[in-house]
Amino acid sequence: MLKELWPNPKAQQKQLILVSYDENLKALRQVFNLCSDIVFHEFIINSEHPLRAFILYASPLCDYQIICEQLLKSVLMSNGPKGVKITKANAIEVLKEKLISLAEVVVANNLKEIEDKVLQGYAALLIEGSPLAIIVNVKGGDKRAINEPDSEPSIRGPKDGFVEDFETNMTLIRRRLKTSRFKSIIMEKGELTKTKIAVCYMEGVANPKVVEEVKQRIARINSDSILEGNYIEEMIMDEKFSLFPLIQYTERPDKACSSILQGRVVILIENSNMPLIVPSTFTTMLQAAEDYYHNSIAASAIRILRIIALNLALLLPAVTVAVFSFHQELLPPELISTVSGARQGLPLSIALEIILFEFTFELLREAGIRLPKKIGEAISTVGGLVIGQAAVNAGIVSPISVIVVAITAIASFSVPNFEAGISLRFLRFSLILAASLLGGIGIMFGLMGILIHLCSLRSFGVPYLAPFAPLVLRDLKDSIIRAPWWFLTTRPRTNRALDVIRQGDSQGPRKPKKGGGQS
Amino acid sequence: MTRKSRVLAQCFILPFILSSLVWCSGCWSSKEVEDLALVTLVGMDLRIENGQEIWKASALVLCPQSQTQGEQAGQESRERYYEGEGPTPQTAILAYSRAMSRTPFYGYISGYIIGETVAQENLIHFVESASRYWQTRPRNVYFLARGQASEVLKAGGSLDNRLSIELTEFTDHRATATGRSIGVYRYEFEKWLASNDRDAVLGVIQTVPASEASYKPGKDQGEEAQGGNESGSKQNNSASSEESNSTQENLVEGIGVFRDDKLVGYLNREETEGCLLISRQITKGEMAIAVEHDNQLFTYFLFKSKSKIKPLVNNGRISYQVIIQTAGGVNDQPGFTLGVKEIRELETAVGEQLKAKALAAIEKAKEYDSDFLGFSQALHRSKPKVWKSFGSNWRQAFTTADIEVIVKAQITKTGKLGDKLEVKRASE
Repeated sequence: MLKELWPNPKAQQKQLILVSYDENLKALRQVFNLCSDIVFHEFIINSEHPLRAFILYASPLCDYQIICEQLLKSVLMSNGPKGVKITKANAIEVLKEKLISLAEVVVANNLKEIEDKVLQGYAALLIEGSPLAIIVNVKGGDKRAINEPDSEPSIRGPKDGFVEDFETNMTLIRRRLKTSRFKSIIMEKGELTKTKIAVCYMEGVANPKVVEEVKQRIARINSDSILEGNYIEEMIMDEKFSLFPLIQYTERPDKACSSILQGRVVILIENSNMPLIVPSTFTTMLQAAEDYYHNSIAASAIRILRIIALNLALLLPAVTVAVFSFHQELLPPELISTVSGARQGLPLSIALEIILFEFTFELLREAGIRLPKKIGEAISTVGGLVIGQAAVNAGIVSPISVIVVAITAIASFSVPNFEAGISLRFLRFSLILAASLLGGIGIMFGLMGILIHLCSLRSFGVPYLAPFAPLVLRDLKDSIIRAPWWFLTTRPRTNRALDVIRQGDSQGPRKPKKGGGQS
Repeated sequence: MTRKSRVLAQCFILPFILSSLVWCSGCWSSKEVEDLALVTLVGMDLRIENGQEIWKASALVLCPQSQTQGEQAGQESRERYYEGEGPTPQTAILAYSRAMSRTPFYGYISGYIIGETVAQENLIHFVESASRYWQTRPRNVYFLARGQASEVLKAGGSLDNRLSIELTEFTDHRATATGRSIGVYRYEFEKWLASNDRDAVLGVIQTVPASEASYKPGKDQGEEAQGGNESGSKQNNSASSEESNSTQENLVEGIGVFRDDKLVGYLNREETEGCLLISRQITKGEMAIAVEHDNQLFTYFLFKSKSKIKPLVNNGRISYQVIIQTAGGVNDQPGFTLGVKEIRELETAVGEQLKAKALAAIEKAKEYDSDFLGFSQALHRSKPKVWKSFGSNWRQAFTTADIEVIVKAQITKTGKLGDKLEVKRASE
């Protein structure tokens, strides 16, 4: 199928540029037949014997100002450098070296290269009588401005976020990592999309085996298209199927750089504003970039709060079902009396109530995401309130179900990783079903299943539950809690970093000695 | 194991285990809260008719709190009374269960009230039935009803309208602290009944007419079966039961004494306090004792006390030494400031009073031939060989022994903040 879509790339590669101007023009017009965005601009170059020439570029990808002022102007308005006559034989050389004042100018000798470059935002200049073409970087076109990341907002910390433009994203990282040890290996994947993928890491910090593994897994990809990070994410994961995100992604350049500095590898993908980060562990799901910008005590407290929220989001509905249907003696009699009174005459069991209400809430949430932002907010908030109140008033569900689903929803929003939130939704429904069948035993079985699954997971060879299983004591300082910066002297060992020392010891604050001496 | 058999095992054994779990303990055992009748307190009475035992089981069931009642819901009693009769405790319980529209649920039961006849005639039958039931908890409370347990349940609670809560609270915090009675949990009561070195006791609850429920100093409930009481012991009756008598109130006071599995008698107020001083450690006490010194009455507030029983064997003769240490406060009388000398004198006077209480309890125990104060237990622990020599007559080691009581009463607070207030007094 792939071969039919693209007949024989190797054969095309061999198709060299001819001396005949008309033949070259004809061949390229044939390649870009019916491509309305490809511009062929023919003109005459001033020389002793006027030479026919044309430039070829993809208008949406190029900057017209560069084409006009720096390419065409230097070619058309000039009579050539002093003492040099432009002829068919030396035209390419003279233009490249003496006339065109652009940074990236290369020479190509085959049509395939021209085609590839043109589709990447370069302009190709072909001149009568020359079997070579000048390829000039005139990239431009519209791109999204750098905005605050929507999916990972923060109060304190940088507000810039990745965009879809590959170069911009590289710039955002390079601005933060001003060292030649920061490496980015660019690969191209997708026969039709020619998507650039950059494997970014810190030399001497990232483990070369992990880097090599990343490169190999990406190199294995043979697809016609890569339009977003998940296209390659699912192909390079360690497991074929897993509910848990084995590869992290981020919209924040600071988080990407922090990951690189921890010895992890960041995979930048063209046209995606969400670079991938490998290896990834369970604890990273609960960490936000902002944790490192706040006071360590506050950050640790917030992390613990998130863990509580994670448990609430996962277990609260299931535990409610189990307790109200199987283990009533666990509740205080006042509560059970109130709930019993409120549930008089209701048609559904509490398990069904919660499942239906969870389902309704998921519908509202999905509708809220798909609708325009402002309407979406109104739908999800007002919809939840109105439907909940109406359902209680109509005697369809009991207030306890509405309260439980509402608390679960609030708790699930506090998990920083969106993919993890989706996993939680699936697991929550499974646990509710298990609880409605077997009560507390069902929840225990469900949790054991989840734990066994988590223990079996690996992300680029790193155990998913690290640093808890296997236990790496030194990495616990940046897991559930976030130790103060002066204490974070080593990089996480779970990432298999080569150079584990991040900073010197004894850099903590010290009080001045009594009597005015130096500390 | 070959690959094929491993796959077979995975395909069949795991689903079999999971499905068997579902079949064995699946949603069949689930029950919705609105289908449950939450039993909070059970009472058991017994009468003999034509030589045949007739058991009467009574229960208080927590009523679901209706949302429409709003704030008024809290003002009304939320426990409903049920009763049933049968030739055994179980049939009696089933009899009242049939009268309920919901399934009785004993997960919230706070305790049991044992009727006087049950305690005298066939205590073990009921206690064993209760202890073997899977929803019974070790911290369920036991009380002895002086008279009919069903009458106690009918009278219901007062302050927060739930007798079950009042009895639990009383057992947890107030029984020993006030010196009025003793709070006994299930595990404790069963331990005493099964013990071969100690007898059991239970706190006594009874219904009394509201008109007589006023404070009458000197009048003792233990001596007069339906006697007067302190005002703090009032327990208003329930409004929920149609059968409840609005003039009846519940009162917890005194201790019921058992010998083996039979109720043998009761302790009065003085003996109850003595019993608590010897057998319990009092913390956060609220006991008030009137002490006379220099023709003036002072009030000794007992905050805490602890005791130790020391068995002594001299030439084969057993004697016991009971050391009771108490700490309390005495607020100054108006116009009178306590000095160091007065405090010492008062401490002696308090010690004498407390000693009298303890001796009264010991005398009663000897009279009933019941070692509920733990003397034999102390002997068993410190001198097991001596205790063993008594065999099944182990109570003799207590009843025939000389017992010396030493009370070390301390006054730690006098309420003195400064000089006494010079108030002008009317001339006589």
